[in-house]
Amino acid sequence: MSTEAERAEAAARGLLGDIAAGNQRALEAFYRDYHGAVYQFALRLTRNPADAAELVNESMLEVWKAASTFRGGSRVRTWLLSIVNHRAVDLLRRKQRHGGAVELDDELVDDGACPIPDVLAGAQNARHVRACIDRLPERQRQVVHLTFFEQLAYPEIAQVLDVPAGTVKTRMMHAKAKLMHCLAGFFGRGATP
Amino acid sequence: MSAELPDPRDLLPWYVNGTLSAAERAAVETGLVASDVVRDELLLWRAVAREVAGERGGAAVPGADLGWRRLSRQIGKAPRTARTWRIAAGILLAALGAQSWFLVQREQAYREQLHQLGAAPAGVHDDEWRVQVRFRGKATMADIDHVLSEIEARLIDGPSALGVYEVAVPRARFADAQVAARWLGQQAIVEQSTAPP
Repeated sequence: MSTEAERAEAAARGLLGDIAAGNQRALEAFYRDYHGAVYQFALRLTRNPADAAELVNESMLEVWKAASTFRGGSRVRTWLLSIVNHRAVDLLRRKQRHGGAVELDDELVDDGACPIPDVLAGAQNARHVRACIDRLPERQRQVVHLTFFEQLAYPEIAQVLDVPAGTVKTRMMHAKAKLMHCLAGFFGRGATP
Repeated sequence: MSAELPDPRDLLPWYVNGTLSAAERAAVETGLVASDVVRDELLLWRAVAREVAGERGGAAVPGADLGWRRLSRQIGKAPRTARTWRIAAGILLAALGAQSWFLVQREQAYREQLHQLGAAPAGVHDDEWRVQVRFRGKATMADIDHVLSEIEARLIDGPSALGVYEVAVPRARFADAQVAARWLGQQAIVEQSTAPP
């Protein structure tokens, strides 16, 4: 971790300690520091701004109730995002919803079938890349978001999602295969795959 | 390659985001030197990383103020340990016992509070009407935000202990405060709205 990141982590741990002691001002500072990251992750999970805003509220309420359970074994951000993930799973179960976008199926696509030049040509177009990311199944999209938006290491993602590290790698491998298939489709067929 | 060593292709996403250990990074860099496939996949992940990182300036994040106001209202009621759950349950039972008395008093207290709030708060500008609103319990801050933004209104104070918010509504939108209160009162998430004298 950089010095700046270490300082931010130390500040977050200090706030959590104060929150655990019942300090509402500390919760407000924590809320203002992290509500943006929580909202972005929640929006990625739910694809619905209203649900994402609801998850911010539920997750921060959980921080208030459970700050004393933070043991320092992970970064505060990792701990917080794991709360958001659990809350999102609950919310999606409650709503019995599977997301609005058309998703590729969960089976592993054989990336060997994709001509690499077509994949790389497709990857040069940001809109194609975005479209293909959006078509990933929810679990794979989570891993992609946590890796490239939250900049988490794979063991941290495993903590957030409460799965083994190997599962994180497997989901990313599946995501890669689907992305390659999707991008090659954009270039190879000259039409939406 | 030994089975104990990680496949560099599996680690490429975290090579791109810079979170691998030194040993893992070295394994990836060895793979990059040795294999066209690894180099091609690195280009793919860099394109994905660019696109995802670009989301930072994308979706608008709601302001913290409304969300914090809602949360701060809830935390006073939120139990924090198993013991406090039991205490809270006892309090709740007692509260239920007093419910009939409370219901009678509540409306009167609400009206008194509206009266006490009669003096315009500093947050109301000359070109705005002041309306007092009580939202339904199930209304989320996103719902409230949506309704207020429709008429370019803004929350200026609240919620009070009885859940009353002060709302400033542009005068250009409504002929007077009563009309503004009536419009707000017709919204599904609004339980009651009043234009104070």
